Amino acid sequence: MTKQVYFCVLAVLAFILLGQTTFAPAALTGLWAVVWLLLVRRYRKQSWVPFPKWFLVIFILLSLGIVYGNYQTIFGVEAGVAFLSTCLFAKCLEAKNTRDLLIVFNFALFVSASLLLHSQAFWMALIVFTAFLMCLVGLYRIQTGLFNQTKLSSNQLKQDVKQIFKFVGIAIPFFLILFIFFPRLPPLWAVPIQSNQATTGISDRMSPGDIAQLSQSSALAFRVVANMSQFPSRSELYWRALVLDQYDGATWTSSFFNQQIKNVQSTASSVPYQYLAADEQANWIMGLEYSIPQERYLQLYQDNSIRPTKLVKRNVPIQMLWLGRLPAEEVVLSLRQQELNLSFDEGRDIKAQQLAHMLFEQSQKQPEKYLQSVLAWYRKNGFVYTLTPGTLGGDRIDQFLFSSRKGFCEHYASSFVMLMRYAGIPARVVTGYQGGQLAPDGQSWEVRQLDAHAWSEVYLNGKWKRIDSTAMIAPQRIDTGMQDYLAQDQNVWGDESKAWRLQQFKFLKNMRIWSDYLSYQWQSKVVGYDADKQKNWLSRLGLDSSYAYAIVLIVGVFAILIVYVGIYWWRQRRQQADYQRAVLKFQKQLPRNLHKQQAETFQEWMQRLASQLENKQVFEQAIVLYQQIVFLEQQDSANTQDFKRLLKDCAIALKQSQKNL
Amino acid sequence: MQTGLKQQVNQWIAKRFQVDRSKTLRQKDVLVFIYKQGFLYLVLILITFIAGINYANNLILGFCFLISAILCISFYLTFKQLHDLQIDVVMPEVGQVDQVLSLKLLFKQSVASARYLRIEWQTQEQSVYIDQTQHSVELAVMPDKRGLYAFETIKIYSTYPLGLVRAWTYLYPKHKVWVAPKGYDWQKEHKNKPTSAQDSLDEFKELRGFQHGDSYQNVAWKQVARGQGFLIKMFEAQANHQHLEIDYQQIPAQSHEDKLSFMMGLIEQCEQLGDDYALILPHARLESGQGQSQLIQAKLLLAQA
Repeated sequence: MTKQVYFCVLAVLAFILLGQTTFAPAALTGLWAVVWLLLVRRYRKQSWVPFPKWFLVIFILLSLGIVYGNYQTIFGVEAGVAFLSTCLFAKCLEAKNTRDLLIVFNFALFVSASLLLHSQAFWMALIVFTAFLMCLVGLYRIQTGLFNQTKLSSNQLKQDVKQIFKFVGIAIPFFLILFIFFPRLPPLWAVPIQSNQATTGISDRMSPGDIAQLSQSSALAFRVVANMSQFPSRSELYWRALVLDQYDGATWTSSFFNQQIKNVQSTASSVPYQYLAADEQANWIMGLEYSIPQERYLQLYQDNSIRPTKLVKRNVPIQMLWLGRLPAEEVVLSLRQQELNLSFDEGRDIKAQQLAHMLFEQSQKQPEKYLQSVLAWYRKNGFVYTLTPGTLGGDRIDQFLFSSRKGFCEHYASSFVMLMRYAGIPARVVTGYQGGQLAPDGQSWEVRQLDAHAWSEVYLNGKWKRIDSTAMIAPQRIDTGMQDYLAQDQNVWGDESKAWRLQQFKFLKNMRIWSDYLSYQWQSKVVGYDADKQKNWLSRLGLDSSYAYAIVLIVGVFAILIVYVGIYWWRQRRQQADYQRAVLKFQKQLPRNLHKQQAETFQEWMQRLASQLENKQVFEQAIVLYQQIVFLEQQDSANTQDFKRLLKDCAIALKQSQKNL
Repeated sequence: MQTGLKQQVNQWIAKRFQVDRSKTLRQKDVLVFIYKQGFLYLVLILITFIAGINYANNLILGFCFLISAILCISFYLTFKQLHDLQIDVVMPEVGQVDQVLSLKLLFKQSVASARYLRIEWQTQEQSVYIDQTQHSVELAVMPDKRGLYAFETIKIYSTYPLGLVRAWTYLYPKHKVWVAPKGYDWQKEHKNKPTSAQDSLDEFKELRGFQHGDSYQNVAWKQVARGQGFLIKMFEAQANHQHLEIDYQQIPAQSHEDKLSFMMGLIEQCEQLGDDYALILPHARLESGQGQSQLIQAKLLLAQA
C-alpha cells in the first residue's frame, strides 16, 4: 500500500518539477531533480525510512540560498512559488506515515495551483491538472489502501485513475457552473507583480551585416482582433515598432528625439481594434501605422512607437485605434533633428557616396526623381532577397551594394536610407512587422516573428514618406506575405537549402498556426474570462446583476443534482432484470393482501394466489418459467416475453375471480 | 457538566439510532461531515480562492472551483457508501461469562457495489470491504459479569473516496443479551473423571430411537442402512445414565454467585455426559431434559436468577 501511495507522490513531484523547469532558476530545478532521483531510488529499494535531518536542513538552506541569490528576496511571486516547491520536496523527504502523506498531497495541490502564477498557458494548465489528478489518486489510495493489499501494477493504476476520472467527471458540471456564474471579485489587497526583464522579437538596435543567417521563427508575435475589412490589404499592413535613426557604420540605434511623448487625437475615420501580444511583457506595442493606444498605461512617442509606461503583465487585449488612411501629417524637423537624420560618416562607404552623388546629379537634384532612380538602380543590378546573406565587414554599405548584393529587408532599408542621406535627404529606418495572416477561424489576424520587417522613411515636402525598398527586390514578400513567400520560393532559404527544410517549415507553420489559435482561444475564453467578459456574456443571457448570477448558480447546482439523481435512479432500474420488473409490475396491479410477503418465495406466493382459483395452470407455468429464468439462467428475450405474458394471464385470472366473488 | 452533556448525547444517540434486528440506512440515519484532513482541504480552497482573486488569475480561481466541486462530490459519494445499506443484527440467545459473545452484523445491498466501511466498536476498529450483495462481520466480546448485557453503540463509518468527508451512523442494538455465569470446573477439582460416553470399551446394551441432542457418533448406521429406523446405540455406561436434579438450595456454596456458578458447572457436565437434568431455582424450575435447547433454557434461567 505504501508503495502505491509513494508512486503517486513521485508522479506529483515529477509534474511539479516539469512545470517549474522553465521558470525556476536552473540550479534550483537541478537540486530538485536530484532530490527527486533520490526519492526514486528509495522507492526502488522499497525502504520508507525518512531521510536524515541534516540532509533535510542542507537541502532547505541550499534551496533558500539559490532562491535568495536569484530573486534577492524570498517573498514575491516567483520566489514564493519556488519557496513553496522547496517546502514540498522537503516534506516528501521527511514523510514517514500516512498523516505526512495526507499533508503532502494537500500541500502538493496548493503548490501545483501556485504554478499557474508563472503562466496561464494551456500546457501549464494541463500539467497542473495532471498533478491534481495524481494528488487525488494518492488520496484515494490512502483511503482504499486500508482495505486491499494488492500489489502495485499498471492495471491497478489504470483502475484508480479511472475512478478518479469518474469523480472528476461528476464534479465538472458543478465546476463549470461555478466558473461561469461565480461573480468575479476585485482584488482584496494589492499583490506584487513579478518584474523580470522583458524580451521580445524586436530589438532596439539593428546591425544588418552581423547576421549571416536569419532564423525564421514562426512563433506568434501578436494577434489583432478587428474587422479586417476595414483595414488595408495585406501589402499595406505595416505594424510599426520603432524608428532607428543613428548609424555608426555597423549598428542602427534610436535617438533621444524618439523618446518624447506625442499626443494625437482620434478622428472620425478611426477604426478600433484589439491587440493581443503573444509575449505578455513585450517592450513595444506594434500598432498598425498609425495607431494610438486607448489604455492609460500605454504611451505614444514622437516616432509613433507605443510603449507601456510601467511593466505590467497583460493577458487581456489592448484597445487600440487605427487612425485610418490619412495623408501623412506635416512635421517640421528641428535643426538638430535634421542634422541627425542626415548624418553619415564621410570617411566610410566612399563608393556608395559616389554612387549617390552620381544618381542625384542624374535626377537633376530632385529628391523625388532621385528616389525613383535609386530604386531602379536596385532593380537593375541583380540584387537577391535571401535569408542567408553572409556577414559583412569594413564598409558594410559598399560591400552590400557592390559585391555581395544578397540580403534581407534590413540590408535594403539600411543601404537605402544611407543613399538618401548621402544626397542630403533626411531619412531613417523603421522596424516592425509587415503583413500577417488570418487566423484559422477568420476572426483575428496573426502576425508572426517571421513577419518582422524593416523599411525606410524619407523626409519629403515636410512629410515622412514610407519607402519599402525590399518591395523592389522581392515584391512577393510584401504582396503575399512572408509566410507564403517562404513556402513558395526555395531560393530564399539560401544555397544549401534542401527540400525537406521547406517541408519542415510548412509542417511546422501549420502546427504553429493551430497551436497559436488554440492558445488564443484558451487565452481569450478561459484565462481572460474576467468581470467584464462575464458581464458581457451573461447580459446576453439576460442576467444583469450579481444576484441574478447567484440565483442561476444555485438553480444550476440543483438542476445538476436532479439530473444526477435521475441518472442514478435510471441506472438502478436498469440493473434490475426484466423479469424482476415484470414481477413488480404484476404486483402493483394486485390488492394489498395479495402482495408478495417478505418471507415468501416466488413459488409460495404464486401458490397462495392460485389457491383461490380453479385455473391453477397459468400460475404453475409461471413458476416453472421463473425458476428456469432465475436458477437455470435462461434469461433470453423469448423466455422473458413468455414470462410477461403468463403474468398477464395470471392477473386476468385473478381479476375474473374477484368479479365472480 | 461535560460528562453530563456527553451522557445526554449518548442517550440521544441510543434513542435515535436504536436498531431492532434489521435496519436499512435511510437518509436520516446517515450523518455526514467534513473529516480531519478535510479541514486542511477547506483551507486550501480558501487560499486558492484568495490567490485567484488577488492575482486576477482565472485558472487559479478555476482550480479553486474544481477542488470545491470535488469536495461537494465527496459528500455525495461518501454518503452513498452507507446509504441504502441493510444491516441485520444477529445476536446470540444467551451468552456466558468469559466466553466469546459474538454479535453478527449482516450487511445486505440490493446491487453489488463496492463499499469501504469501517466499524468502530468499543476500542477496536475493523475495516470491511464489501463488494457482494451480502457480507457478514462478527464482533466478539467477552462479558465478565453475569446478568443482562447491553451491547455498546456500534459506529459504522466511511471516508471513501478521498478521506475529506466522513459519513457515519450508529447502531444501538435494542435487545440485550442475558449472560449466564461461568461454569464451575468440576473436573479440575475431582480428578476421577467419569468415563466418557464415547468410550469404545463399554459394553453394548441396546438400541433406542434417536432423541434430539444425541451424538451422531452413536448412530447405529448398520440398522439405519437396513431401513430399521434412525437408531442409537446405547452402552452400559450410558444406560445407567443419571437423572440429576440441580437444586439451588442444595448447592454447597456460600454466595449467590458461587451457587449459580456451581450449578452452571453441573449443567455443563451433564451436557457433556449426555445426562438428563432438571433445574430448580427459588423462583423458577426447568423440567428434566438435555440437549441444546435445554442448555439454553438453563443458561437463561441462571443468567436471570
